Amino acid sequence: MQFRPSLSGPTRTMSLLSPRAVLLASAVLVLPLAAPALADGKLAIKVGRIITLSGPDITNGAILIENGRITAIGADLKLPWDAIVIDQPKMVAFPGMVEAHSARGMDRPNENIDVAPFLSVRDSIDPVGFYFEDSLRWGITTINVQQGPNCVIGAQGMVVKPVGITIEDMLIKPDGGLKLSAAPKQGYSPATQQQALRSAFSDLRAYLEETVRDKQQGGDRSKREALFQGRDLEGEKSKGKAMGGNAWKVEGLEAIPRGEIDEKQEPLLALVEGKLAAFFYCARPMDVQRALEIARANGFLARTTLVCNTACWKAIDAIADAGVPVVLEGPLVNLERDPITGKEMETFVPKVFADKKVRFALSSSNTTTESLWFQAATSVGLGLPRDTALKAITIVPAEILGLQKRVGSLEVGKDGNVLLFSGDPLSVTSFVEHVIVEGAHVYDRSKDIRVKALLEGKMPPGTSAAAEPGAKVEPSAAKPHDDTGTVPLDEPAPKKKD
Amino acid sequence: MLALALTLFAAAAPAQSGTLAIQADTLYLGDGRTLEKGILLIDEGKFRAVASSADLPRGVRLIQHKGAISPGFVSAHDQTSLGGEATDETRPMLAEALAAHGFDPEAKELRLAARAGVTTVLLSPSADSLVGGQTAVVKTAGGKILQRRSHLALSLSSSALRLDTPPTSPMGAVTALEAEFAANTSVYADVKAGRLPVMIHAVARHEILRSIEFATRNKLKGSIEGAPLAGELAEVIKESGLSVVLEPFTGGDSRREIRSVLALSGAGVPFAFGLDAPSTGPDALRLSAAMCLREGLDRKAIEKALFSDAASICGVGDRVGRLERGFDADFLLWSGDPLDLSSRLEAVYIDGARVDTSKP
Amino acid sequence: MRFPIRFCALALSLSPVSGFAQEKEQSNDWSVFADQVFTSDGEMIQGALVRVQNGKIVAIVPGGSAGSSDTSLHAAAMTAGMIDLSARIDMGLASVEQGREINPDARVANSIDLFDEEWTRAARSGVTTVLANPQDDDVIGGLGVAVKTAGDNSVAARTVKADAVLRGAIGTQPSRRNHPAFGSPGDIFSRRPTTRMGVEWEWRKAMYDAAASRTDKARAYPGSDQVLLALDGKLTLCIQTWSTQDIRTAVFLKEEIEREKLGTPRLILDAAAEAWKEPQLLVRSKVMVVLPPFPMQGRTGEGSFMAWDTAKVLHDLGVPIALSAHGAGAAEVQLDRQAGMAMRGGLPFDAALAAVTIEPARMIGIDGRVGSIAVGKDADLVLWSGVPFELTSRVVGVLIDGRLVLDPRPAKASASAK
Repeated sequence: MQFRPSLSGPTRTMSLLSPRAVLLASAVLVLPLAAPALADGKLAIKVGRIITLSGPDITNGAILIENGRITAIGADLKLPWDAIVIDQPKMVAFPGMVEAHSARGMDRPNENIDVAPFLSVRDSIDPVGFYFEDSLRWGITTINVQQGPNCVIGAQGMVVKPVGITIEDMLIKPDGGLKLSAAPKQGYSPATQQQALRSAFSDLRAYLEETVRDKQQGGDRSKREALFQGRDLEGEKSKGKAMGGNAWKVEGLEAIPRGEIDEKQEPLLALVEGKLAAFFYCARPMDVQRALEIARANGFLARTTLVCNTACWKAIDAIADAGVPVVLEGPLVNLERDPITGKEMETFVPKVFADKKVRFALSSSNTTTESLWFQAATSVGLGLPRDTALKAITIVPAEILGLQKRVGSLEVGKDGNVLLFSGDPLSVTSFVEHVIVEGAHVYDRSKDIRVKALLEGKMPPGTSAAAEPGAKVEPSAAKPHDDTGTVPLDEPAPKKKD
Repeated sequence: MLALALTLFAAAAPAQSGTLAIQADTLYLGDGRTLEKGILLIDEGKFRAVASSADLPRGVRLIQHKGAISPGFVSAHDQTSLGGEATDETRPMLAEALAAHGFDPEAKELRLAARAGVTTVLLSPSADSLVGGQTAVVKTAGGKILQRRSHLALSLSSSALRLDTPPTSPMGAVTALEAEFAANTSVYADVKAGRLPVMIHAVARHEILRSIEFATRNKLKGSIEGAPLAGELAEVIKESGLSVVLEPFTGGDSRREIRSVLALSGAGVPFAFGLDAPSTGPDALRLSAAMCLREGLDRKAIEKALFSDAASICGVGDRVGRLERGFDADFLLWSGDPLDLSSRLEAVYIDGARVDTSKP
Repeated sequence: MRFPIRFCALALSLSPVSGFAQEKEQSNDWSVFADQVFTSDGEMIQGALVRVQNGKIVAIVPGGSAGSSDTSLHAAAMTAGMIDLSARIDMGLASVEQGREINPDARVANSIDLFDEEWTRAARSGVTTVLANPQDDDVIGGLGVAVKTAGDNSVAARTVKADAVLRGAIGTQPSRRNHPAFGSPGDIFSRRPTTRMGVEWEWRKAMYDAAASRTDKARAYPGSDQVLLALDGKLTLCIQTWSTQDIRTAVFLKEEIEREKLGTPRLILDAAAEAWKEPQLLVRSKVMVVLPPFPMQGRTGEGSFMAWDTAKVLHDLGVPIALSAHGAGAAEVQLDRQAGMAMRGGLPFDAALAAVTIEPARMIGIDGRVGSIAVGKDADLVLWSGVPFELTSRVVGVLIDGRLVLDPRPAKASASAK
């Protein structure tokens, strides 16, 4: 059965966008850091319980969202007369979940070029991809989309919300950070991979030195290149100087106007300067050490987040020493077979990180439900404190993305990203019933036909999907056989053998 | 020790021509006991006496051997001399096949085995058939067949299962075997009556368990063969009354296998090594024994595994595997302790005759 | 870079108490207390002590206290050991007798590897009894066996019920690798059914031949006796049927057998993912259903689609249901999670509990020994850190035949793992 994107519930809620918001959204390119709220106006959410994650839970409280931001939250709020009120006394409000790193939502997430920091996932993101729709269904409202791990240095990521049909609609933060991988790219050995990483930075250094030398000898190669690349050398961005980073410096670089740095090298320079965050992928413990070596040698350790597969827990000491946060992908429990006895050993990995006080975010890049909710709930079951688990899907990833002032908890001043659960957010029987993103009511489970299909096998009558096998159309039609015990027509006629 | 010397030596008969007497610093009797300054009296291919002091019959020349004497090694599982024809690939079950009929006394592997001190081997059909046939016990020199039908060789290991011939699965194999056992042919009648023990090839632990359960269900006697990790099931094996024939350790990390041997010994399960020649060289027997010794296995247990228990498992425990009166005069002259790998094997005797070890 | 060995201790803290030496040392007599005891007999006792002696439950004392001796255990909740009728702990193709398509005389008990870590994994996830079946590449694969997931190193000793079901499959799997006779004539796959119709024909032929063998011995074939037992309802039939068409085939076959007066088979449909589509058919023909794991995106085995409310729909209509993990190895999708997912789809807690304990026990007739917490039954107990089946709870302790497989006492668990 093929679901048709045009039927999808969540993305159709775009109609909630006001014309003004759309206009503002198109202005994103000009003012990238001032992304507009999805909805203006006032929205009040009254629920039985609010889990703020910034303070104690609030019983029978309300959240007021004005122009996309939370302006008030508490038990005895006086709601403005002109606010639209969502009144759900049995539901539980929870902050929108944050995905610190995801390689989904793109058309072909891996780039062939080894070192491609000049690319951006902006050009690969597919806004109508099922992933975004599904994220909303699971209550994920902020996603850092990053290129896949099959690279040396990949494209620049971008933080988006799973709402909208253009990149500009979705945009939260254009510089989500640069993707690097310490895990060997396909066909590479760890040694080749590491050498390629080192080369990328030594090439950058050689380029900068050559540029300085050329300038000192009175050449204007960098300027001609910049003009050839069509950059506006008079613009604001071009005036700053290219300064080396903390780890190494190129003498005389201050003589080069920033605008003259080759745009293919510029993102890597920004990384070295600490202006860009790094998401460093590690598949195995040995990758961790190599990732940290590169980050230290080039001065961007402080802005590095390790994206770790489950097996990396063995490098916990190195990670803790480096003080870097971690995004934890893959299964929660690492299974190993003892090479001598053949016995299986299990390690519940989030606990290892929590015990070592390493900040970590859970990830929906896992093998089972592909949701953050399930990972957090299962982690609590396996022994992680509830508070740590909840923070690992909200405020910790928000901090990793530098968005802790906007998302990750329900507080005055933050974005109006609110989930309404039918019960406790971590209970197996709870569903995400409503999602509010920046004050816009973008998801309502009662209108989500895919959840309906999953839950009851029912498709709305009249849709083409309903006509397909696998669709329970109407209760009356669901009984092809009567209860009288007569033989249905389509049963093979009884036959005697021989 | 004294009692032994008295009883045996008292029976020493008057000397005859051809009688041989050898005295060595140490006699390893094969069942774990030793005799210092012992004397072997050999006549007509048999030990006439094993004694501790010399009250020799007149006319017998006493040979002094500086070093040790042990019985010949017994390899409890082998395909030596079957010339690569140990499997009938057309039939998964062939109980009537006799390995004895494939025995080639002139085979080169037998000479190699004899040269390494292996004097008795159990010839077995390969483990590639569910019912391979019947094993035979032979000497490595002289062409003597000690036991024409010593075991029914079964295999419940994966090597007996082939995709092109049913049965293809362990459960199919057991079903087929149960049906075969139910058919009352003379071979299976012998097996069920306990006249013919079984030797069941099993490698993985679940195969060992399956073999034990099959043997227990059908009240069979005999051995599990192959079974590198049998010791991890030592209690179950002990309960079943079966013995174990192990493959020698041939490189790689064998710690787990050695621990398994220790566990077998600890539980009191009789075990022996089978060279499974030609896949393993004959020296592997002594090497494996030495490795077990190094890991702490009781020395007596190792000697029994190499000699007397190995012979008993082969069904010839009353004829070879010990330096004892009336037993076949299969023995080895060593420069020192046989389990000291620096000791040299100086002479091999089978049925009282010195084996020419100079031939290639 | 330090690769800390010392974490191994931590790593092992979830490992089971293993090794027969240890098991031997342990007492099998326990006083197990839980704040909530779910007996699976429709009863929840607030605070009760369950006494275990010689592998059996000897007393249930409401309001009793845990005590603090070496043989007392304590947890937030307690249920009976879970039972998975479709655990799929087999040896892959080694659990398929490929020489024939119809193998009613093959005993899966002889194609089991007790040393497979799957057993330990199942045991410590709270699954204490499983129905081991052949992999479904044959039309009739063989006789399934109900075994405990931990215990002595002996299939016989762990067996709860030998020949528990006659197992087979309808659908695409039995014909998957078959082909018509071309190429090598010796190929054993060249004479088997290659279509669903062929599979169904094999079933019917096996049944009609077996029925005919009652009077005509010439119609008997290897294993026809077992098929006869199945026709008579003395040996439960357990047939894998993922999709609607396969469910129909199995149900119609059962009804045909009854109509033709060839017998009155008891039928369990395993992996019946699409059972929600025509539930009345199942009610009418009185079959029992084992459900496969709930798929997150609906799609599951053999192209079938399983709705999350399947368990609820069947339960509401009174169809006996059991849940299964169907061999899904990952911790996240084990049997307790399936009970949770069934509840997510609307199944009440009591029914979810029954569907992983007493219902499967009844289905294969082992409810006299296992499936609920009752005096005289096997001491197969599962201890939980919180409300059973919630994602935020986990299995912290497991007893099988009174033997402690997973120790709920944290200090003991890590000490025994060292």
